[in-house]
Amino acid sequence: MKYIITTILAISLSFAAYSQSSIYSMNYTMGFAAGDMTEYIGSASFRGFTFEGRGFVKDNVTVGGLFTWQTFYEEQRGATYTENSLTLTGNQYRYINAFPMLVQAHYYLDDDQYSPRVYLGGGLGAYKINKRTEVGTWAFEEREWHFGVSPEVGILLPVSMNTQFNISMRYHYAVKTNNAPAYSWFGLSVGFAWGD
Amino acid sequence: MKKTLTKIGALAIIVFALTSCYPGGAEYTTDTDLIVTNYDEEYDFNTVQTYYLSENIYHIAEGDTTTKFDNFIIDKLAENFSALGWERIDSTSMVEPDVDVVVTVAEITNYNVYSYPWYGGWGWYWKSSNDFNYYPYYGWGYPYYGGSYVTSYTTGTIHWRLFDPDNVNEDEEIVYVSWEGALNGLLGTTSSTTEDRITTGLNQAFKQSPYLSE
Repeated sequence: MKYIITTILAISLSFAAYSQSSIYSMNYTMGFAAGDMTEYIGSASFRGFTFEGRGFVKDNVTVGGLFTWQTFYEEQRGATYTENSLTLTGNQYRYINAFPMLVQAHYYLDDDQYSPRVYLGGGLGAYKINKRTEVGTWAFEEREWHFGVSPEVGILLPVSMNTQFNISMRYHYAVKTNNAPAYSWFGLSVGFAWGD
Repeated sequence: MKKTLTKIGALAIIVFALTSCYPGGAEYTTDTDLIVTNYDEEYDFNTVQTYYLSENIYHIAEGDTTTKFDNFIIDKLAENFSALGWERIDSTSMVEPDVDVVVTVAEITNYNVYSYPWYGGWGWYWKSSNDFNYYPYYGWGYPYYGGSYVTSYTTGTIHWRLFDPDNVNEDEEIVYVSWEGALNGLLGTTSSTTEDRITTGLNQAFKQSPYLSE
């Protein structure tokens, strides 16, 4: 797993370091839980950021890497839970910290960097997901690595010679493991992209 | 150079905006209150008409402990049992109660050791919870030049067990518990708040145990 992460980061940073024929971006990312994940946390996340590096291998195709940090949080006050004969009442503070680390590829519908460019693409790779439930003075935590995929659609809007405004929507799906369920959410990113 | 600084600044703003990966959480001692009940699904609570509740509470504490809430706890328990229609039997009574209730109060102090790096504000820190797991929140391999400090907090637990004196295994000296409950939370500082929390907790324990009166 460490080799995968190192490779992804190396790819990302190499594109970031050499801006020729490359794009890298920093984005504020909002998260919206989907699927079974909503049973644990249904609230939207307004704490997240995404860092991406992309390098052009053709005029309208890039490959690169992505790192995201998304924090989901939900509070359940005075909720009662029953499991067989056991009943528990108390406030629950639920957290999910998700760290997708992906390799990805994108196709651009327009190869003119001075025009708005819609792109389609996706990534796959490692998802580190930390799930924590605090109840009373107790805490229960689950830290798991998942494999996951993430299709994306977005648009780059030029604001200067080398700077673009980026808006994208992606769907994250981290498959279940032996010890943890699957997680899925939508990520809406807005930020700036730099490069030639 | 200016462009590089702008990018570094943008990244720094994002990181600082996300300093805490665990937002929210309990703010007041009352937020930590937990009410737990459990019961023997085979036991028929319809047969219970009388109960014995000792005036004496067994205390478990590392140091000094207070008994000033003992009468209050007993009174609140008795109120709730009476609301079920059960009659409290005095210790001098010749009548054997259908069930006995014993109460324990425990005060346990937990210690946390926090360490912090010299570049404070990035949100990397160590924190432990009071359960048996130790959850480190650590940075990304930065050398450690920070300091550390110790904090402590005390939790209180009121635990009661209800059992049928006829439902015991005398050979193996086992008393089978028919119903039990516990209130657990951080200890507060004012008597009125503590009494409110005890009242709320005990009322909730009975409310979430409808099998007692069914």
